[in-house]
Amino acid sequence: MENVIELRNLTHRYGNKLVLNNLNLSVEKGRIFGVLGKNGMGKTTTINILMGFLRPTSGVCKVLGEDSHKLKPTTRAKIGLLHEGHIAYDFMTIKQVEKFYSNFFPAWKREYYYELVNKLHLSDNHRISNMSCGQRSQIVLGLIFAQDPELMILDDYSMGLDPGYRSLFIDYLKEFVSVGNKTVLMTSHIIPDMEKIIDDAIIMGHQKLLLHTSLKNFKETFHCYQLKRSNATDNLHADNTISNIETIKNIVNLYSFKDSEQIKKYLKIQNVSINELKEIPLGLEEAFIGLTGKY
Amino acid sequence: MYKSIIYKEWIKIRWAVVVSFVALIITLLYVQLEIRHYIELMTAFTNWLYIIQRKMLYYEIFKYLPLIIGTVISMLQFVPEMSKNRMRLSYHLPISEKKLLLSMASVGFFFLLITYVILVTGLILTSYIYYPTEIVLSLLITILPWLLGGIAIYFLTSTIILEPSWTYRIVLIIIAIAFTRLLFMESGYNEYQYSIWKYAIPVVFFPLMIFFPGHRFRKGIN
Amino acid sequence: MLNKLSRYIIILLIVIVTAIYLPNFYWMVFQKNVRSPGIYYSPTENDFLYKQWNRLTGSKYYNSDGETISDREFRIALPFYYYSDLEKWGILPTKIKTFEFDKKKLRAKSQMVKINQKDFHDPLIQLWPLIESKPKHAKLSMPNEFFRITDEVEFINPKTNTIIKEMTKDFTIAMVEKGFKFPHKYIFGNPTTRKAFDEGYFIVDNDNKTFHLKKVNGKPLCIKTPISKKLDIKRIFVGENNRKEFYGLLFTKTHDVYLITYDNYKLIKLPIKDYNSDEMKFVMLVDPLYRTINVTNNEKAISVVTDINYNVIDRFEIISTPKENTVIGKVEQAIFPFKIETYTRNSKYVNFDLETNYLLGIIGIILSLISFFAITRKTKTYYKENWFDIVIIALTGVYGLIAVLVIKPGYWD
Repeated sequence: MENVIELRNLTHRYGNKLVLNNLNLSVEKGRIFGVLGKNGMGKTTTINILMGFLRPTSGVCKVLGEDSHKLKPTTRAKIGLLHEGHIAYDFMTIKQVEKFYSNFFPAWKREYYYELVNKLHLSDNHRISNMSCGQRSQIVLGLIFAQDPELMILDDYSMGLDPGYRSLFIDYLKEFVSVGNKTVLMTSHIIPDMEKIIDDAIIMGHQKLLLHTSLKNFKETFHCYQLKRSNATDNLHADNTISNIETIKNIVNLYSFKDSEQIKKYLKIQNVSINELKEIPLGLEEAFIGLTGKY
Repeated sequence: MYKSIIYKEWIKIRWAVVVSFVALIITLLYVQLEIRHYIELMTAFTNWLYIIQRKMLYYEIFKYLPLIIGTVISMLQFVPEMSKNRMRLSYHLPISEKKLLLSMASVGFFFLLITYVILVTGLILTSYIYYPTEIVLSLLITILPWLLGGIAIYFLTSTIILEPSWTYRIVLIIIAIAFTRLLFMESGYNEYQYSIWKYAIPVVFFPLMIFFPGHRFRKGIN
Repeated sequence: MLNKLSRYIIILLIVIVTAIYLPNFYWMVFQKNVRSPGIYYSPTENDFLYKQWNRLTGSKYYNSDGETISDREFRIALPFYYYSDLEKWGILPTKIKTFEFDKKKLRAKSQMVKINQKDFHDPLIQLWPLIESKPKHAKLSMPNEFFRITDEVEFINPKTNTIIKEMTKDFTIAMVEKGFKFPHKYIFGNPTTRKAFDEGYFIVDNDNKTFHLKKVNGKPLCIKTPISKKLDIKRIFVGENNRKEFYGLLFTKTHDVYLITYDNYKLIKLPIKDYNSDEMKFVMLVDPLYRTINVTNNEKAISVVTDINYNVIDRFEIISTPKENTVIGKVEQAIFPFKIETYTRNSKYVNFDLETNYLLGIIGIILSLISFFAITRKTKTYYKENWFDIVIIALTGVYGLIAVLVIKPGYWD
């Protein structure tokens, strides 16, 4: 399988501050990846490097086989970027912006753009600066679709969008990638939305990658076990078995990739009573928080 | 591709271009009226004498116009690109950054040159009615540093705006002011006659200056 | 490659700007503002006196031995210049040597000619008004036309901006008749009405012969002067004065100065040495008994006093350490390997001239290079990739150092 994105020992510092430490990741072709990470974990830095707007301090970041900070123009044509905040040429109108972009891409698919944009019921001479954030997101997405890229990197696509536009965005995206052969890497703070579309989750922890797995696998193998708080539970701490522990008043939540048998065995060794142990079902968001912690 | 770039730059600056053309033509008409007024007020002979001996520059109203037009065009082109990081869109286009930057700047520079053509022809035509060749020639020599100043400030302003870091910007602003003011220090006519080419040499290379801030943006150097 | 080049263009711009401004700032901070001395010859003391002004002490007066004298002593010694003070103090002498003191006579026998080095380098549009030298009225008045010299003397009417054919023909014929060879080389005059009478223009023709052109009763008066064509004329300053001793002063490219006398344009060479008209101010003081000629610049003030027949009586020189040779000057040269001068006291033209400081500048360059390596302390590849930084510092010293440190290299890959 060909890797569309490949990070090897990717390290970045701002001055003396280490932001990414030896990050390794490969992204295969044809899947939708959600990058999840709390603020300050280097997610933005990683996206900046991937988009080609930051040269990493060391390590390799290959996108479509080329170093991301020196992509050839022809390679850039195969990559669609959605920048945080749905950046667009605000000073142009619906028509102008399409006309502008169309000359850059030989395989420009004008109809993809207008299909999306026509649904806004705006005049062609409507200026982007006079649009709402949601309307602008449609323009930006329309332009990316018309470009028909192999790889899309969508940074915080949900920022500033109301639930209506958010689900519209996801619907169109889903439809667009259903043709196959498209790779999408996206980030958002709205995890339940992402859950609807992503195949794989990439979860970033402090300066490094916590987890890269398929969504299905993550949801199947990551569990939350609940039990009553006791002196013994207070002695528990995160280790190879337990990914994270959360104590809320009298309830203790243990997050782990181990199945309930393994957990029970483990808890016994730790002298924890397992009488009231029960597994709690997890959504992606809860699982993500469970894995990375709330703070 | 280049057609698109020209198209986008044109959208950004078209109003400024129209306003500059109108302003230029109004100012040219004003200068003509002023000359006529002077001639009636003090006789043509005295008017010539003022120009020749007291070194009155009857076209001094145009002194800072190239500077203003150069700055405004550059700002209209590059401020919208740099605000909200919009330059990322442009840098991601399938064209090398250098070709992109150079063609963007060429559009602004081209319109600056058109204003120069209007200004210079307008001044020559107006002047030839009232003044002899010697005075017209001194006018051309005298406005040369002002025109060069407009070109210099266009590329300097573009470099300053394209530069992603504020510390560099401040350094560049100081340098830009310090250099450009050297071209506006005359107290009479023809004073740059023998040195203007020396000032023009560095300015010839100014267009290349915009690459470095582009490079710094691209590599995320702050 | 282009990115590197782009950075070096920014760096070179910073070098240019700092090379223009920093030395100026340096001198603004460290230089005492001293004006060159004004030297006079005292007919009562038979010796030179001078006054000097500086920012800290104001005007101070000295005798030729450099001893301070009082303001009053200075004025008493120079009755030809300060007679009104002396009169007020009641000590105006009745006779100074052979001169019976009379204010009117004194004024009639006094003249001052001041020529600044800038006056030699002053852009002037070559269009001239020819003033009527025998005016109907008491005062001179400006004519109604300008003239230029091409292959004829062309008169232009400003009202219509057209050539006045009649006048052009008359004057051209008058010139040609006297043997004037068009086109001309130089023309010198003093076209102002703020003088008692007008002497028109001195025009050097294509054959280096000097002609004198005036307008008398509206008609041309052209005189071929006997001024030698071998004289390499730089400039003639015409200065009409009621004394009618000389039309003006003739300066040659070899820095000699002549008076063009009313005695059939006979030239009198002024006995000054070490004068450089491009760098020095020239002042000639004429009083009833003496001629004092002063030429000054920042480094020296030279004065020659002669009798009325221009025989040298005495010479005097004040040499001050040129600013380049003071400690402050030496330090400046060691800091800045060169500077770019845009404005000088010597010219009205704006320049852009490189002035190198030669040997001392190398100290600054070496210090700059050491500082560069001490500050950057980078890897070998850094220096390999940015070797031109070192070249820039080696050529431009502190300017280059500032520039390469401020504008840091990018990622050259």
